[in-house]
Amino acid sequence: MTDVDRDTDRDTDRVRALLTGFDPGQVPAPDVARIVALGERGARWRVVDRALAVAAVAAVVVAGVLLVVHRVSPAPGPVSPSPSPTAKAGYAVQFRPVLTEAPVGATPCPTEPVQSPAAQPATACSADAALVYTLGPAAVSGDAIATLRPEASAGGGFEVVVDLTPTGSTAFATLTTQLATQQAPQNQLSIYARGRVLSSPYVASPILGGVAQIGGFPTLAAAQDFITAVSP
Amino acid sequence: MTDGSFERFVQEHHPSLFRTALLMTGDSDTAQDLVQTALARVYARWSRIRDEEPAAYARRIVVNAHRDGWRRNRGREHLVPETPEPVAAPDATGRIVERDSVVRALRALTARERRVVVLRFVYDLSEAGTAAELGMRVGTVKSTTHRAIGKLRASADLTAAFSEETR
Repeated sequence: MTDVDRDTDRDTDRVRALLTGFDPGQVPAPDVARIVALGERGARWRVVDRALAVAAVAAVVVAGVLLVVHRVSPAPGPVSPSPSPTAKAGYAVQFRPVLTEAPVGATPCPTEPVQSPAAQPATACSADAALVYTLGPAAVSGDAIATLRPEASAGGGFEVVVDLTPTGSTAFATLTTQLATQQAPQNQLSIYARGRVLSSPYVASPILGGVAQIGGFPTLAAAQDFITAVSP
Repeated sequence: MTDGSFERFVQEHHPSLFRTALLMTGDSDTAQDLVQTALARVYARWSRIRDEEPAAYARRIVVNAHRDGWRRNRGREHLVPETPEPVAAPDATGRIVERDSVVRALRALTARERRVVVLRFVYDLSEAGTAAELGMRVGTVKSTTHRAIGKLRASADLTAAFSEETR
């Protein structure tokens, strides 16, 4: 062992001792009621059938806080024989069925994930890098999305409203009808953008209205940033 | 969902999560926000993760939070409604000095360096385990650890800790 190695080991030991011996001082008591309220709100990130005014989905999502800043090149949309003339092609947002869901284990999440093409299955982590999903090919994506627009949420904060084209609405209805019959985790609809699963609400009943919402943005600017980042 | 198991989980794990969050963020209020956010996410997924490793899930959220601007977006959930605790409650003066110096020294590290040293030394994960958790290569964990230790060693705040002779 060289002197340099010995010095390094000694420094390592000191850092370990400093950190393991770190005294955080007075630890504030957890506000469990507050945590539960926040968790309930997080669980309400939802896709809503506004036409039917039915909250079709309740579930779990938490992406807003960790939305990535960098931009991923937009994935090519699915091949569509006759895209609607009003469609703004190529939003890099995809709706995919969830095949499996597991805590991140031996396979690490990539730090800069790449968006998979819509036609292919994908493996992606949740935005908080805690869960890893395998996803079926996108049933709705790219040119099936007419517009993305920010809107204030009823419960505070902002959401991004996803207006689907007529073709997209049909595909979304088919997808959600199918998902609603499945058992967890295959009853989940993933909102996949920038190589990550932003949310994975489960589908309780078919969503027929052609409008979905991605909730949980703290400010108008955050919702707009998201739209910019996934726009072609 | 509320059979008390989540509440017990919070009581049991909140102190260590707070400690980790304080090491990661260097600020008591921010740490409290962060832990609250992490626990809220655990709650939102409780039925699915309770039988797996909710503590590891929560830790992962706390350690990863500084990726991509958690701080920038804080306030999203209107956190911290209560009056924040005073940071330095006067317990033993020496301890406060040491706590502050550790926190200050850690602030000089990059977020990635902090994540690595916290997982390596506070949670005692192996280099391979740290690499897996952070999505890094083992070699990167090694070099990052080395760089972080170098920075801590050079930190004026920790001069005393490093100049002591080893016992």
